[in-house]
Amino acid sequence: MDLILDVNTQIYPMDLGDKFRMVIATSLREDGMADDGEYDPTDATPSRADSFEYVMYGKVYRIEGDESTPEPGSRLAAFVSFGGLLMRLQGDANNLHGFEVDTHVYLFVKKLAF
Amino acid sequence: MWAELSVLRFPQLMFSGPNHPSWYTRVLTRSHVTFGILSSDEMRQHAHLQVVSKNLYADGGGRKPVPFGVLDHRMGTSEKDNPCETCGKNLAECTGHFAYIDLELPVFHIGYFRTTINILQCICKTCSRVLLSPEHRQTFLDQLKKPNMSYLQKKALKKKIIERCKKSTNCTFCDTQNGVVKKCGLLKIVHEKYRHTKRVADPKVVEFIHTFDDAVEHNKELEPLLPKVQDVLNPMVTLNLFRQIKEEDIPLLMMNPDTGRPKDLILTRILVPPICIRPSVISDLKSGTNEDDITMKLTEIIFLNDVIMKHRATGAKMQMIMEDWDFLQLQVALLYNSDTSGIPLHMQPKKPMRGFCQRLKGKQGRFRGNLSGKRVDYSGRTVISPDPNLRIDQVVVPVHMAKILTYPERVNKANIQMLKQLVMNGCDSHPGANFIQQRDTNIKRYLRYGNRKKIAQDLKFGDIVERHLIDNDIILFNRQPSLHKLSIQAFYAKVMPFRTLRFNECVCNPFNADFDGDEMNIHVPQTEEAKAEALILMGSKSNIVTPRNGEPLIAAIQDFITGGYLLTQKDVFFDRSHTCQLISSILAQSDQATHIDLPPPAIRKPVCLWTGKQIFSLILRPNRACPVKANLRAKGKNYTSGEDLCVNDSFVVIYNSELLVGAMDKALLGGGSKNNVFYVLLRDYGQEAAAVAMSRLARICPAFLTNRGFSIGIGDVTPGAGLLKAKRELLEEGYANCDEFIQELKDGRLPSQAGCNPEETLEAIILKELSVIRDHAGKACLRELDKSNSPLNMAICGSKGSFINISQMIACVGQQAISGKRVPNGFEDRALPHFEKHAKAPAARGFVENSFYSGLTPTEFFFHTMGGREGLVDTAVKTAETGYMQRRLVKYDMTVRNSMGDVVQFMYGADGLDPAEMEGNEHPVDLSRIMQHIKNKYACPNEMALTGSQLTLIMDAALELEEFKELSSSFKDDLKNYMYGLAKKVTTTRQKYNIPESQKQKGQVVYQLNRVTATQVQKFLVCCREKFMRAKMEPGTAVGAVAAQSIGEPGTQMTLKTFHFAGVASMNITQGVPRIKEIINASKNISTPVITAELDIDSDPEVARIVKGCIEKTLLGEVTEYLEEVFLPDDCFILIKLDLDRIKLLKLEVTNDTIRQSILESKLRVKAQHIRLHGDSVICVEAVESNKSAMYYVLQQLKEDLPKVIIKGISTVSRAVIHIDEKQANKYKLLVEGNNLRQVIATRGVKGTQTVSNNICEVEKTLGIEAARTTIINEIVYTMVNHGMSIDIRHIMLLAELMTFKGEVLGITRFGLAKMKESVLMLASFEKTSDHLFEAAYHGQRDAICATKDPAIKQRPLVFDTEEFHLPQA
Repeated sequence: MDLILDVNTQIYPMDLGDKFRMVIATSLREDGMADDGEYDPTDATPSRADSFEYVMYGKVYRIEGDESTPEPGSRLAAFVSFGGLLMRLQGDANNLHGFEVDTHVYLFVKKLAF
Repeated sequence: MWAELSVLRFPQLMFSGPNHPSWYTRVLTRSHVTFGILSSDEMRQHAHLQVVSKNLYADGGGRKPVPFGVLDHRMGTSEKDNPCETCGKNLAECTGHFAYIDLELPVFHIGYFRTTINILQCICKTCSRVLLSPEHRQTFLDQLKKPNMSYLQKKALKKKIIERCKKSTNCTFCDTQNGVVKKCGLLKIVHEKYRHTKRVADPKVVEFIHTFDDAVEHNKELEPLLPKVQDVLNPMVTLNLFRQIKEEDIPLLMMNPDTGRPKDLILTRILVPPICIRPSVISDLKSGTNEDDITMKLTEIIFLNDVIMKHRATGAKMQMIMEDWDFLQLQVALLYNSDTSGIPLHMQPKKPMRGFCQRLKGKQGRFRGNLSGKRVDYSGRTVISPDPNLRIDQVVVPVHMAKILTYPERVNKANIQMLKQLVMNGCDSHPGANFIQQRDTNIKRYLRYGNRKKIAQDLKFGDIVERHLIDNDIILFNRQPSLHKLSIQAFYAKVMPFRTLRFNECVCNPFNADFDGDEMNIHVPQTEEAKAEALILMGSKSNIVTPRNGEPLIAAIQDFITGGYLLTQKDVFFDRSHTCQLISSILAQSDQATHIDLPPPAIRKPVCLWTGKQIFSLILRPNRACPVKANLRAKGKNYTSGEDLCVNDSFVVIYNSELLVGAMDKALLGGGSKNNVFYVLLRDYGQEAAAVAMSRLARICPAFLTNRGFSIGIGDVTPGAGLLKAKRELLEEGYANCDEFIQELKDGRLPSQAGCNPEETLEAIILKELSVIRDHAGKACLRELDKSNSPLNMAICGSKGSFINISQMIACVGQQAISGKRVPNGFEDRALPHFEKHAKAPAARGFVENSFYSGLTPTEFFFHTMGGREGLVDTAVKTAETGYMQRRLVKYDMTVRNSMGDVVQFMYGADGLDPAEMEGNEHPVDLSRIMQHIKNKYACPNEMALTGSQLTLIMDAALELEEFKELSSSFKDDLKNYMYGLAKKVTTTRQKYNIPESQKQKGQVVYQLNRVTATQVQKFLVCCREKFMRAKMEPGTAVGAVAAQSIGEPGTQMTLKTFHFAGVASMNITQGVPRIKEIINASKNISTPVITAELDIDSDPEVARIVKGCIEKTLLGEVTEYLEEVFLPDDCFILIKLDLDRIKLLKLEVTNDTIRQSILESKLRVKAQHIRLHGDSVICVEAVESNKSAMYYVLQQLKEDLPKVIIKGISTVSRAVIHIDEKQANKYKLLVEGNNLRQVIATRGVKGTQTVSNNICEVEKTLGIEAARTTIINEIVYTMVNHGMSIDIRHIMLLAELMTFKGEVLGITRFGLAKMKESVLMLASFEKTSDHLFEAAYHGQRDAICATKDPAIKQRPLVFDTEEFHLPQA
């Protein structure tokens, strides 16, 4: 797997060598049911976000094969934009299962201690 | 001449405007105009009185015009309080009446002077019969009988008859001698009856000369003068000759006896025009009146008449009468045309005056000033200022203006309440009214006075209220120069206080307006139809794109771009309060009540933050109910590589109106790019969506910028230490290089470039070296400057300024170039006295190493002003030149047919599509963008992805459907090719990832690759079809005018970059406005003719050199080692020693034998036996003494001329250059400078089928008219592309087609135009106004009214555009 990710380091500093846990999910809800994507600032119900330090919301807008090599392979790349902060997740097709263009996803990050 | 103009509107015959006595027009019906010449009898019939008195006003004050004087009130009136004495009407209604003056002696009419001479040349000066032999007479008469002969054919035939007549000297009817008739001095004609050239004189001439024998005997001095005997044909003699002309001969002179006869060409009587066209103005400053030039001239003519009469009565000397006659002749000539040149000094008028011709001529003349264009009411003009809070289709009209500009609104059920209120408000309070016109009485009443309350009460349905301009009225808004149709657009009015006209800055571009004091005009259409038409056809929303190439012209500019760029940076985040505040700035105008969905924040934790890109997305789609889903993938201005992951974040992805990737910059927001966001909205969601989004941007960007802060200060242009160091290094290196080059030149080591001498080479190298310095300095700036630097930000996003501008401010102003070269030596061998003579160092020739920040030294400053001056002059000159070019281009009109119904093009642009509607690169639809758009818009998540074969299947089936029958075959092919390509891609991906072709279940990520579903294909095809149908040209569109504007308008922007070095160094081709001018003039001799010759064997440089040798003109002198005179005791000759090595080197296929042949064929007149060959390299040419010159001089002459003998090549070719293709390394072709395409093609080794010239006339001559047409298209496209102008090919095709449709290349000049046009009025309104009118009158030309220009002149609706069709009234 190969990851490129834009992070707002001003509010969530990350350094080279930091270890972190990253989860990508389609819902904030603990039970994993799909949410409606509405933003409600008054919402105080417990959510997955509670257990993470950095959460972003964005959209999968492009899934692409590896055009550079002509030989058969199964590496794919999924592009997600979190309001302009980009993520490219590249990897085997099996690992990217469930990614679908035009769906919204949440990205959760939590730094791990050594 | 003016008669018919008004007659066309009013059936009864009325005269208005200035009148010309001897061309009058009889109007038979409203359908055509006849030109003719008035006879003196007809003049009297037209006139009301004879004018005899030279005095203007009677003695004894009271300012009463003398009866029978030129100001007699029976000719109409020019004063308000004195009615006309003939018809009793007042100033406004009396159109005036003519009078006449009888001339004591006949005079020539200056307008017909040339034709008078022509007729005299055609007739026998004794019996007045046309000088044609009976058989010629018969053939010409037969030709004349042809009905429907066009005006042009008539003119051509006339020329032929004159030619024929000039040749015959003997009259076949009376058998008398006729000589040459020619002009002799001003308004004098002589007949050289007795001149002879033949050795043996005619017996009649001899006889005539013998009659002088007696005189010669007494006065020897007469003898040499005898052969020069001339007959003076004065007006009297001419008139008598013309009177004698037989009725049957008149057609041979190409005259129409019904409209004019030869005798009418000589004036015996002149018409006095009505007083209203030459008003007498009572002067306030001095006592007395100011009289019109024509009135003065007429009194002078009467005065001279009296003098002649008196002299004749008293029997004065003949000489005196002749002198007076000459003077009368001159005065009458000046009355008609005061531009007459060649007037003898003592007769010259003291002050210049305006004759009748001058009244018609020129921009202010009757034709261009009053007939083609007229003064209008309901218009206003004031200074403009910007207002970003307005929508893009609004203009603020100051209240002051709104109270004067009115709209006549008819009272009806719906508006009576409002109009009553307006009437009550009156003229002085804003929403009010100025006039009211009651339906039954039809009287206009001014609302300032009278009982407004009562008037309002009495308001009835059908009355017309001229109310003030109010909000949402339609107005036309215009800025000069009106170079294209977008220079005048329709807007909604918005009445507001203060004194300027205001509009959204986005609309600056089409008008080319700025706010440094520009003024603009508004016009108020006065009917509902006009309003509706203006809104649909000229509305600013309907004109977002330019018809030139379909690119958007109304788009974000300057601050809007900067704001958009800064807002969409990756590091711009807002918390909730800031987000909401910024978004709320959208809420104004039409968006006042728009619901806005706040998107979920991009960053949820640790704090909720929204990004700038999310806010930008709201501009496009403020809420989820909004149907606008724009889709775009485009490269920005600073795109590097890697698509989405571009390091500059300059690859923009907009997905269903959501900005996902990339910062917006000029390429995405500004004009002139089809990647513009608003352009995408316009094409996919209509003009309203685009206009609204643009208005939102115009509000949100200034709001963001004012909050964020964006300003410029001295700190922004202060260079840092790093930059200074970089600059110093650059300069040192550059200077060192230059010094070295200079030194190399001194030592003679500098290798010359092809076609340049060492000096020129040095200049070229140094100029290149120095311009590199500035570029590098610019790059250094980019590197060293802070990211927050304002000028840098502006340059990066493209809103204002360039990197060069920044570099000039901060680092280095750079080399000052004057017409592409370094500053020339204007001060004895140096540029300025501060330098040494012959100084070549950078600083001495205009290199400015300082920046504007550090300040320029005096010399640098001087050089800089020199460069600046060149720019100013260039702009001024180009503006005038392009203005003229435009004027000429616009002169043609109509669609694929011209105004006469001749077919110019069978199908507009070969596909009948509107250039303004082209989305792709000159294609109606950008297929891949639409596919992307459809895929995004209709996600169809529940459908299965199609396989490649399924795709092709659907595609083929769909194209067979009825709806797709209307598509052109080429568009269908485009569609097919695109879909087949897509299908192939799908198949290969499936194979590559080794997955089953068809999808069985949902959710497998691999099927996301190149996923297309059945619905998407269907929607795609429907969308493409719709776009294609929409792109079809509307019938009746004035494509000619649009094409002309599209080609002419970019000309104004082609300043400064006049010359461009194309491809090969040292071979330059004229570019820019001069080149375009050459093309549209169809110039025979263009300044830089170049033939591009492909070679049969194009991979071998040796072959290329051989062919070059065959083409290039090689002189004998160029291949000789030496050439000397040899004097031997028994022989003298020139010895030529050939330089065989050089011949071999140049690959010239010449031997001494071919050279001998060349010498023999040259103009030297050397005979074969005088050339001797010795060995391979020596040729001896003997000099032969002739009876004209001695042997020595012959030898000298030979020595002079022999080196210039062309031994190989084409004489018209100055040189040929071998050109190596830039793309393919091993491909050679020849660029031949010069003419004679035919011979180049015929040269062995040249691939004739692919050899082209840029000389249109030559291509026509060699390859034919179709080739010429293609050349015109290619040349215009090439020139425009070189200047970075994109113009739709259809416009250029139309121009080329128009220039060639008559079967020969006709330039858009007055000569070419005359061959294309037949309507007199159209020709007259263009150039040489009066000449065309005189000629038409002579021929008795009858013109049908059909062209675009004619109806405009006659105030009738034009017959194209919306007038092409009529709806039957329901």
